[in-house]
Amino acid sequence: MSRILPLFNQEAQLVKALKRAEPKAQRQLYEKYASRMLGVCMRYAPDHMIAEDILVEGFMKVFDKIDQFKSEGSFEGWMRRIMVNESLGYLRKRRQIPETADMTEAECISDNSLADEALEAEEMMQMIATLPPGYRAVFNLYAIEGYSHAEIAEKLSITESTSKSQLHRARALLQQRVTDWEEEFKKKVAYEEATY
Amino acid sequence: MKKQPIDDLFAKKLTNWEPKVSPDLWVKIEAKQKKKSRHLGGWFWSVAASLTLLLTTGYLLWQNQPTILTGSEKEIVQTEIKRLDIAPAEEKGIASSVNSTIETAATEESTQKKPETNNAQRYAVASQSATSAENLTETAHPRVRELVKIAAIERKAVESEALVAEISEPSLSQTIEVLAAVSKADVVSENRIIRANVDWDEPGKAEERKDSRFAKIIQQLKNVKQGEVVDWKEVGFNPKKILARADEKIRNEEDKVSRKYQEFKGKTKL
Repeated sequence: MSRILPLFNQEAQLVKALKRAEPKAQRQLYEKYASRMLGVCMRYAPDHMIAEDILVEGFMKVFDKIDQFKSEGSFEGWMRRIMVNESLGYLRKRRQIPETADMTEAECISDNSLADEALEAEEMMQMIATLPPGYRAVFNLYAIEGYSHAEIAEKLSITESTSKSQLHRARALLQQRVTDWEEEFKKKVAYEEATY
Repeated sequence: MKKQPIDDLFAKKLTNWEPKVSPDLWVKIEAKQKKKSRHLGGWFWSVAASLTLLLTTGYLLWQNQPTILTGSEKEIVQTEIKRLDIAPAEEKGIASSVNSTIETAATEESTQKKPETNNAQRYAVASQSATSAENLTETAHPRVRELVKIAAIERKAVESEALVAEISEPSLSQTIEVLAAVSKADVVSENRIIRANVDWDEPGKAEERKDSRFAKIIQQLKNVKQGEVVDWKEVGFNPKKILARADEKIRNEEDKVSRKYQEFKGKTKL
C-alpha cells in the first residue's frame, strides 16, 4: 500500500480523485480509514462480523455519495457520520432501539483516574457491549460522537427525554463496570506486589 | 446536559480506536463495486441499443415514405440493364446519340403506350455495357441525373437481351429516346440486370410533393374535428381493420381459456 499512498497526498486531491471514481483513490481511502471506521461500527454492532458488514455498506455509500460532500467540513467527520447512520440503520432494521423511556436517574460522579491510565480500548468495548442496545446507541452518539439530545431523538425516532434518561442509565451502568474493573485491577496489583 | 468524566474516559479511548480489519474485506467492497458498475453498464448499453434501433427504423421508414407516396403520381423510369461487353466504337455512337437526344439507332415503338397520357414512351432495346448505361442515364436529362436512385440490383442469368429502358415524362415536350444498337453477338461476360427507379420533380407538381403524409393526416384530423367524412386511404390505415384483428385475437384467447377451464372441470369431476 505504501506505493499507492503517496499518489494522493492531500485530502482535497483524494476527494477530487474519489469524485472521478478512481479505483486507486478508493483503495487508498479504504486503507487509510477502514480500521478507524470499523471502530465506529463496532461500538454499535453486536459483533465483529456484523460491524464489518456495516463497514462494507458504509464504504459503498461513501463512494456513491462522494459528490454530496462539500469541502466545508472535515472529510473524516463526514465519513464517520455515514458509518454511524449505517450502524443505526442496521439497529433500526433489527428493532434494537427501544422506544420506551426508562426514567431511572443515576448519579455517576467518579474519579476514573486509574481506568484512564490502565483501561484498554478493547476492555471498554466489552463494557459497552454489555449495555442494552438502546442505551448503547445513545451513549455512543452523545458521549463519543458528540450529538445533541435533539439530534439523537431525531435519529433514533425517540423523544429527547428518552434520550436523556437512556444516557443516564448507560452512564450509570458503565460507571459500575469501570468501578468493578478498578477494584479488580487494584486487587491484582496488590497481589502482584505481595508475591514479589 | 454537560459531559461527565465517564463520557470523556470512553471518548478518549474509543474515538480513534482502530481495531484490526479482516484482510479480505476490500475484496468484498471491490466485488460489490464491480457488480454495481456492471449493472449500470448493462442498463446503459441496452438503452443505447434500443435507441439506435429505434432511430434506424425511423430513418428507414422516413426514407421509404416519399417513394411509396409519390410512386403512383410520379413518372418512374425503369431501366433494366444487361451488362454486356460492347465495342468502344459502339459506345461512342450511343453517347453521341444521347447528347443529341433524338437519335434513334434501333428502336421498337412502344405498343404498351398508355392511352390517357400523351407521353412519348418508347422502349429501346439495345445491347450496352453497364458503364454506357450509366452514362446514358446521366446524360439523358440533367434532372434525371440528380434524382437517380438505384433501388435494386438484381442478378439474373438471362439470355443476352439488352438494355430495356422505359422512360416517361409528360411535361417534356421532347421525347427522350433511349437508344442503342442491338447486338446479341457481342454478349460476352456476366449478365446483370440493374433496375433503377428514377423520380424527378416537375415544376408544376412541386407544390403537390410537399403534401407529406403528416400533412394528410392533419387534414383528416381537421375533417374529424369539423365532422366531415374521413378518407382513411389518405391516412394510410383503417382503424376498423385493426379493431377487427384485435377482436379476433381476444376471442381466440377466450376460447383457449374456456377450453382449459373445461378440461380442468372435467378432471375435477373425475
